[in-house]
Amino acid sequence: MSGIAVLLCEGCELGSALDMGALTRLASGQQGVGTVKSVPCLCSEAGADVLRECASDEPSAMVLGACAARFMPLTTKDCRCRIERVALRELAVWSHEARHDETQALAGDYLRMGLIRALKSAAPEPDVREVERTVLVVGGGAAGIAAALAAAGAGYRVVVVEQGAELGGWLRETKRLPPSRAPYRDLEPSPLDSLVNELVSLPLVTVHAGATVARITGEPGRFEVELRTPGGTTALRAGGIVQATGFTPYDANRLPHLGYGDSPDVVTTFELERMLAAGPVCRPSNGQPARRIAFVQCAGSRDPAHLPYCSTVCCRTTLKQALWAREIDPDCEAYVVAKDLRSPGVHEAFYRRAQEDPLVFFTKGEVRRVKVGKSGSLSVEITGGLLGDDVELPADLVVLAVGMVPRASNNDALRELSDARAALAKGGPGQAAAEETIRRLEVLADTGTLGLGYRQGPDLPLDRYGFPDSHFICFPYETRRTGIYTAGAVRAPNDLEACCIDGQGAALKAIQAIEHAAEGLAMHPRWGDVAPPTFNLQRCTQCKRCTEECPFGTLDEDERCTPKLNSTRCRRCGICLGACPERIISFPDYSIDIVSTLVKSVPIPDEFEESPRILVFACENDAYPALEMAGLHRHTYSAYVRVIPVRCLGSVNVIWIADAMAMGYDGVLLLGCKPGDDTQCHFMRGSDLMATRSENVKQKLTQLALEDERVRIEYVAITDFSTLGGRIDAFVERIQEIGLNPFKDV
Amino acid sequence: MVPSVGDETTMVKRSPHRDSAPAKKPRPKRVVPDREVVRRLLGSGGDAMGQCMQCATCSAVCELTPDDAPFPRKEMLWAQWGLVDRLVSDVDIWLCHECHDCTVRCPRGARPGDVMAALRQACVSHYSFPQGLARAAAAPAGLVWIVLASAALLAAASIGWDATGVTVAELTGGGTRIAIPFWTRFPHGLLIALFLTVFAFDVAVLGLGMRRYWRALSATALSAPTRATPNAWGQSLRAALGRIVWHDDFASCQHEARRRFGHGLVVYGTVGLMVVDLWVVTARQNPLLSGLVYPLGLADPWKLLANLAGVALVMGCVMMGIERLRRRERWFPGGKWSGLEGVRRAPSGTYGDWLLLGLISTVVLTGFVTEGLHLFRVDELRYAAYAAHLVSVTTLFVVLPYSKLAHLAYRTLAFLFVERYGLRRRAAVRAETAPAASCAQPKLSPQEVP
Repeated sequence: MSGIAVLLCEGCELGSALDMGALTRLASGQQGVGTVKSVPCLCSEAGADVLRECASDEPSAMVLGACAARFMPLTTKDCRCRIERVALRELAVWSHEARHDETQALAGDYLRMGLIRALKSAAPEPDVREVERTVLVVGGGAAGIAAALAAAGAGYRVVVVEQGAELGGWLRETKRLPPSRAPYRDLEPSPLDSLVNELVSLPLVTVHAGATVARITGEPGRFEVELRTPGGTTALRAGGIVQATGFTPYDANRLPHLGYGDSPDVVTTFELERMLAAGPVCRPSNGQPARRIAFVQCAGSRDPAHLPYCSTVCCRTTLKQALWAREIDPDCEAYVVAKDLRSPGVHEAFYRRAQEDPLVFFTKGEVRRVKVGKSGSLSVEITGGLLGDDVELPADLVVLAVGMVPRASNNDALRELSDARAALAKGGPGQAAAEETIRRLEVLADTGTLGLGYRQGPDLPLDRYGFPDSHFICFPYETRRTGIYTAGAVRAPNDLEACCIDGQGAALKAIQAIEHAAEGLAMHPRWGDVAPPTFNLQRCTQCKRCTEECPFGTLDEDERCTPKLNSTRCRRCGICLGACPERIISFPDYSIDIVSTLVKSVPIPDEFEESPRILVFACENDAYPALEMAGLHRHTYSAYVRVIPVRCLGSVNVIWIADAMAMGYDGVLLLGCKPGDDTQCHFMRGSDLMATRSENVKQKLTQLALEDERVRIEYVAITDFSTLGGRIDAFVERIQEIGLNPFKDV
Repeated sequence: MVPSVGDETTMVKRSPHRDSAPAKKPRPKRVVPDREVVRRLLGSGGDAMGQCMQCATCSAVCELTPDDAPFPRKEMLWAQWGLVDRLVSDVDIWLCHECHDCTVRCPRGARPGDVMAALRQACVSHYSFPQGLARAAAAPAGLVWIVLASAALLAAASIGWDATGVTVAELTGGGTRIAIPFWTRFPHGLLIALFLTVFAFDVAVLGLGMRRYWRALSATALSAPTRATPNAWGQSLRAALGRIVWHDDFASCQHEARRRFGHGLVVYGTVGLMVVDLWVVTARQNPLLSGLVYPLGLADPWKLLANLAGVALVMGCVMMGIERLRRRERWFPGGKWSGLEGVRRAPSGTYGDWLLLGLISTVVLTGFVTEGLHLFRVDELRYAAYAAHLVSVTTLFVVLPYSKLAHLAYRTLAFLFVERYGLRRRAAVRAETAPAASCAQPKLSPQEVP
């Protein structure tokens, strides 16, 4: 071991814009630093030689003052030590004035921070334990079968749990399907039988029909599963879980204006499916042939009062059923009334196929109501289309194209119920409230799907539409429980094709979770991160903030409410670290101490130098890359800022902000992802938590007679790099208007 | 056609007060699709109309579309549902000049321009009588019967005429008697009487149809008139005729602007020939013609006018025909525009379109051939050619009120209607309200469509 090796690159204008001699002297003067070298171009052959030579000395760490690692990989596997990249090019030289004192100070500070990180970070130890290479698939419909086939195909054992007597789910009810192959014109038979036959022929697959999941405990790689089967209970182990519990049709009884229940001749597409399979379509009321079939699209869908979303498959189902009915009875007419007909992508060809049939009539319009006449006659009242604002369409049979409701349990309600029961059992205050809660929610008691033995409830958290949520933009199948992935209609309204793709995707994610767990590595989005957090439990006050705020339900509690880590559930976001008021949680390379030291390492000019210092905490997922991209595009911004990357806004502990204010920084800018219902936070809750915490911080500032404007949160997407500099400058300007921090030099 | 829609009073609303609450809520109007109407439209140019998905691209590009009743979008829907009553009381279909801007832009290849032509044909058929003749005029098989009937009519009339003994030879002042006995039997008196009869029939059919159409228009469009008092008849008529005289409306077409010239040649060629015809018909009574010897010399001003008008007509027909055949290359160069070959067919005209051009050309060409043969006294052929000319003229007159040619009545009526009641088109509104600079719309070629 020969201390920390520092290599400074002089290429890409670094050598001409900065005083490299001063930087070299600065680095040499720091604690633990061994060799310091300045290299003309680190990414050249000669540079690579220098790197190799440096690595062969086995330094404790290497600090490379060059460009951002994101844009230019420099090191190879030869460099086994910890490597800190300091992006002098993007963060200092290309985004600030060359050969300027402030730019030089900035570069010096970033170099100093890199050295501190190298010095203070401990080598992470992975938590490697035995894993069970079995994928549990909950739900034996299309998506579940596809997941099982994919997992078994990859050589993993699969256990399929299907609550029905047979595999197939809704596919069993569907005898013919809209086209899935070019030229996307003709109805296709159901592929169910071949899928099921293929599945049951695989030796790696075990199917439990008529079974449900009673309870799941443990963590990815090591789930303990208990099944309720017709013969009693079965216990097994699984490494990853795919939830493919599908959907239920929206309850048409909630749509009284559409005549459902008023007339037996008003049916849903699901009922018509059975009628079509049975032969010629007749009016249920009198058995007469249904010659005029009116399809009402979006029955309850895309309606804030019912299902606010589009279920994507109903329109194609209607096209299919219209053509099917016309095939059985070529003399019948089909009317389709839709807000707009959605037959996405290549399936447009199927819509066109239906349009070629002159007796399938389409119109846009809103269905105001379905009128049931005294004699049982039906007419659909339409408004808002070009047929007229106020027209009625007589029909023999009205078909309501109802949407899909995900078959997922309400985790929050179930948890509230179990908490209330626990409170009642424990005794003490709040008995009445607990009883009231139990009365209100008791009806949900048996609606659990996964029965997770997690601190944060027995099922997956849902989004505002009732789907188990995920960071869907970047990573489908993700849920907020590591190792558990959703597929098919429970994840999003899906057609058969998408369900099959979903099943494969979720199965591969489950396998990935197992394999990562085997090596002790984290899953999305900090792929491959080694070290789980450590807790200094002697100082724990059992406040439960970490166990409550973890977005992934990583932490369970013992009976004294002490946090209990399940390391393979952890995604390494550091939100627990940001939450902990006692500051007992740390990662080997990311801790309260490390970041505090970084904050304190920046020399603050005194009040007479008129050179403010603004501390920026930038989220590593979007904001920090955006800053590096701003530099790459040579967008300039104030040189008064010092940026510290953080794992998530939620991982920012308020002590760092307090430290900064005490140190004499004039303002703190927090850059993170957008919060809210459609949060862009890669850890789901980080931005929302920070928004709450920063309110507390602002109150604190006011108590200290400091302006609360000194702390600001800006929400940044990775595409905002061109405007980011301007937003930073605006904050710096505002701080200069407010004036310097009175705590400077105190 | 079977009326299929109930009370049709408020479909084409143009009132700015359309949202004012009615005192009593009217019963919803019943919509029943008419599959027979649909079948007929599919067979007369609307074969792709089912592909319309109501995206409104056509209305967005159409200069005619009224602000609150998208054209031709609403007509596409009505056509798909066979709602004949709405279609035949719609003024917009007759304001359309078939510029096919909509057809070029239609993302579904539904060819709204052709559908509008089919609707106009359906409108003409709907209002004309007898329906049997209307149906015959709408199909090639019927045309054969009409031609045969015309020939038979001419033959029968000329045989019957023999007794009276008034012949062409007499009319020409005792010149050479015509050699071939059968063909001497086309004396002018007979022809004038015959054509006046057929013409009177045409006027009756068209006049009655126009009357019924005007009533239908008044019932639908005027239930919510845009102006308190209509424009004066004289003023309206002047404005309507002005549109015809100057062919202004063609100028707003993007893809068929050249038709203004071809159509103008046909129109003014026809006017020229009609003037000459009027002279010939009135020859015996006309003091200006007395003393002239028939046939007129080539240098005679009337002969000159007739020949010029004939040449203009032929040129116009040829130009329009060529334009029509070249649409595919002009609109979809390289065939690249369409990702949906087969469905997105370029319209090269419907049967009705070609029937009209063909008949007019036949009339004029047989006329020229007859004239030429006559000049050179090619006796064996000149009477045969003359017979063919007369048969084609008769056929033209017979099919006139049922064919596309009826547009000269219906379109004029539609112009008169909108001028009288001040129904303003989008283009006019835009020209009035928009600043001058933005009026100049860039003409996009199909490739430039984003």
